[in-house]
Amino acid sequence: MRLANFLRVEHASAAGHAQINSRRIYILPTRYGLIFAALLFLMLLGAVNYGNNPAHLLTFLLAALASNAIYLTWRNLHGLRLVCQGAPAVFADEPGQFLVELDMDERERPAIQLMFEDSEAALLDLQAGSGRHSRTLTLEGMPRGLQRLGRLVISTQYPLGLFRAWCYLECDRPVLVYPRPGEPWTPTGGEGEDTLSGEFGSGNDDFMGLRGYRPGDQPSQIDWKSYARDRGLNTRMFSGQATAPVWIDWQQAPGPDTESRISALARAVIDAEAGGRRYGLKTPEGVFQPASGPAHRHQCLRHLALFGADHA
Amino acid sequence: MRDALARLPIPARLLTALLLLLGALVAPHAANLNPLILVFFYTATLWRLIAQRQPDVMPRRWLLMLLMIAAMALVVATTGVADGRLAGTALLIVMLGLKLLELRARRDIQVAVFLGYFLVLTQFLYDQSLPLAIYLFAGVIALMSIQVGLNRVNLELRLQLRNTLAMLAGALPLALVVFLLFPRLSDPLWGINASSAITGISDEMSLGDIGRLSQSNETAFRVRFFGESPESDERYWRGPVLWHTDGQRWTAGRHPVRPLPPGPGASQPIDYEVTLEPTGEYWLFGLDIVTDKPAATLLNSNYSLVATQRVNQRHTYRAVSDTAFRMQQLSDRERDMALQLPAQVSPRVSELVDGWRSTSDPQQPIQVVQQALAYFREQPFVYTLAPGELRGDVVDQFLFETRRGFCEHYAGSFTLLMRVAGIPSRVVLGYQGGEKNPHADHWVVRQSDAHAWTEVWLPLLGWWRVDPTAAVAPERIEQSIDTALSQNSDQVVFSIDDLGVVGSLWRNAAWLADAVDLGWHRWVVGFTADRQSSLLEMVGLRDVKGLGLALALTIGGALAITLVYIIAQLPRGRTQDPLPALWQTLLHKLQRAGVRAPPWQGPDTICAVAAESFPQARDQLLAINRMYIQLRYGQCGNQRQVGALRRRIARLRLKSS
Repeated sequence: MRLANFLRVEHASAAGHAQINSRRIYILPTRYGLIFAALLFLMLLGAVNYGNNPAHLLTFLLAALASNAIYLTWRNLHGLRLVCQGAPAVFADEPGQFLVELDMDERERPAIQLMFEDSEAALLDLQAGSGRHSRTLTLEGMPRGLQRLGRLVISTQYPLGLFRAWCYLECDRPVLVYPRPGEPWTPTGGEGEDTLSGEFGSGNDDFMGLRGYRPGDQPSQIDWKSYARDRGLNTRMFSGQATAPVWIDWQQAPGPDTESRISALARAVIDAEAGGRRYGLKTPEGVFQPASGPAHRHQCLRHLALFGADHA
Repeated sequence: MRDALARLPIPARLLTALLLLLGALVAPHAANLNPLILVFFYTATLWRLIAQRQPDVMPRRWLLMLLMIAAMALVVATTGVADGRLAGTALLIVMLGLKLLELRARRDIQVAVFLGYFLVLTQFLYDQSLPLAIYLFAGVIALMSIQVGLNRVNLELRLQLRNTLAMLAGALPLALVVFLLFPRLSDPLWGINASSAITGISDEMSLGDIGRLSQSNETAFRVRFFGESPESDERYWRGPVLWHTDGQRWTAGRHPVRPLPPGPGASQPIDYEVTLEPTGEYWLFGLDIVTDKPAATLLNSNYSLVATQRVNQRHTYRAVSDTAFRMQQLSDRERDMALQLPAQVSPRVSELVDGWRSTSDPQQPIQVVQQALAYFREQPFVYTLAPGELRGDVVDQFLFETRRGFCEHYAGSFTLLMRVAGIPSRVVLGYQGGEKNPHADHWVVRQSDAHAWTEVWLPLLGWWRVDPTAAVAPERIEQSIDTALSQNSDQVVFSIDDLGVVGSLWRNAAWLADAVDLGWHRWVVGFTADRQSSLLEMVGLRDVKGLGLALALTIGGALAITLVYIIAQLPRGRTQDPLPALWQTLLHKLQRAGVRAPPWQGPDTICAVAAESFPQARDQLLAINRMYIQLRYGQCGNQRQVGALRRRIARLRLKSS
């Protein structure tokens, strides 16, 4: 789709807002449109040959309908307002969820298709009314880093399927892709103080309570009993894990190459956060002082996601 | 990946609707096609309907291939390939059946819908009648709304139908412009098998061998007069002219039919347009006498209109006549033919004629004519449709014994009497009369109005029409025969106006249907190249052909499209949001009850003030306020809740305590 680079593309505002402008809409007949054209030609031939006026009328009616369909298909996209909310951070190779919100209008807009160039398409009938309709686009798994998405293709074939109108939308909403967590391992030592007593979730420590599941929590720490009771996924927390800060160190990370070390470090960050401990991160590109909480976890994982990239 | 809609499963309701619809659209072909073709199609449709419940009965690919071969063999075996129209239709129907059997994805239906449109077209090739056309166009609307349904995610049948109708309304102006301006060919591109002959007037007449004339109430032709319509005794519609007789049969004879040179034109022109039902013959009918013939027809030396090809379809033509026009030519050869007598003339006939001749001036043959008419009037002749069969010397028996007959008996024997008297004469076949459609601007001439009369040659006057039937039954000329009543009785019953309520309702409905049918024919079915050019002439485009027509088509089409878009862009009169209107209703109610509701106050304040003034309505007011705020500013709301609010406001009673 190199050609698409030269085409007119709608740009979303910084906040992700965009309205589809008339000059950005492309329209071409679909395969069925071409078949229909051939059919109309045959019908006209029959009507002319037999000098049959009702057949003429039918043919011209269908032709007029098809020609109006150009406008109707175009109008189905024209003026559509939408907001690209972006996708929350995901782990590498896991499907992302890109949120798009579409404004409803006084007119319904059926069969709007939203699609990134290589992702699953989302289809919806946008009803008439006021308010917004939100829709998530499932993104394919991506490698770690700050991934720019291609342009969003918004298209429709309504009402007759004879024409496809589409437009390209460039929304600057890159997705942060965390490294894929590696195998669990135990970072040893921190600041030369204590060593960790065993693995996380060994069960030797006192049970402190449950908290909501976060991606990356170890299966052994999940409270399956409560899941079975339909209370959702929860992770068991144990005391003692929070006592001493643990340093997650590039030097100690197992693995033959950079990527597997990054994966191992990401795993350690996830586990430490899941275990409710304070943890710090040391890599050749930076040091994060021990802390805990979702923000700290995000900081660390982001650092690892962008590790090695120029803009880190 | 590009088209997610195509991969959605077929909505069951949509497929069922399509199958039933296609079944209904194929049904009228029962009249045209071999039943086996229909059996094949309906079996396939039924199979697909069952497969909807049990997907495993869908045929596999190899089975479909086998079915296709079988279908081809079926078409070749039952319809052959000689008639392109028939073979094409049969092929289309079996292919449609096969297509139904391989519908799997949603977009497959699209092709089935396309084939459905083509199916409708094939129906028109066999029958262009209005009722069928209405049926088929309703089917087209249904097909379109199925097509619209295919192209949206969720089915909304009412919305689909509404959108389809709106789209049709938008497409209609353009379609009509193209329909009116698209050039029409007068000859087909490829040969077409002509259909067989249909009932109508033939070009010979035979006395006595029809014991009972069965007449049909079917329309022979319809006439629109542009201007005054002629009186009933002048409404003679001229057809073939018969010169030769053997005493019983009258035929055209070996008369050289040559076209007339352009005549002197009419002094009192009557301009009219005839829409002739198919006859299978060449004869066209014009008001006696045609002075200005339609294009692509001949006016022969008998002043009969002749088409250049057989009238196998409804045919509309425009002509000018002059009822006062006199045909003045009579060549020697024609005089001989007009005096030709059968081998034997009975003595009683000669005696009768001799009696008239002896009492009249030989220089005034009209006196003989008058005596002959008086004879028919004064002797006990009876006009009847069931005269019984005659054998032997037919004219003699009729004139002196049975004296019962219909127009052919009178015209035939009268003409023979004239010839015996030495007055050149001939028989003219055609129609007489016609009935005005009270709801439209045209007259209907029926098969039961078929008539025969005589023309005699009088010096100075030329050919002079004499209708001996009028002498016997003058009411035959004034009114039409009521075929339904006359059929089973000995007496001829003429149409009367006293029919009772049901009868007159029925008759009115029949006349309305007749008017609509003629409109359908004039503007759609019979819209030929001639009618197109006369229409263009009416708007000032004379002799527009080829490029000019293309230009007119482009400009007209552009105008139609622009018009529709301007209308589409107009702001809607009705606001989509019902809530402001509801709030206004409430405010009016409050103001009438004396509550002040200044525009700067919101619903909360206004309702609180009102609740203080009308404590007994307090609960109602607060509920309305809560509902309104919920709907107006809340996250969601649906049609039912709006309806509930509307009812509450309507029920609100404010009485001062």
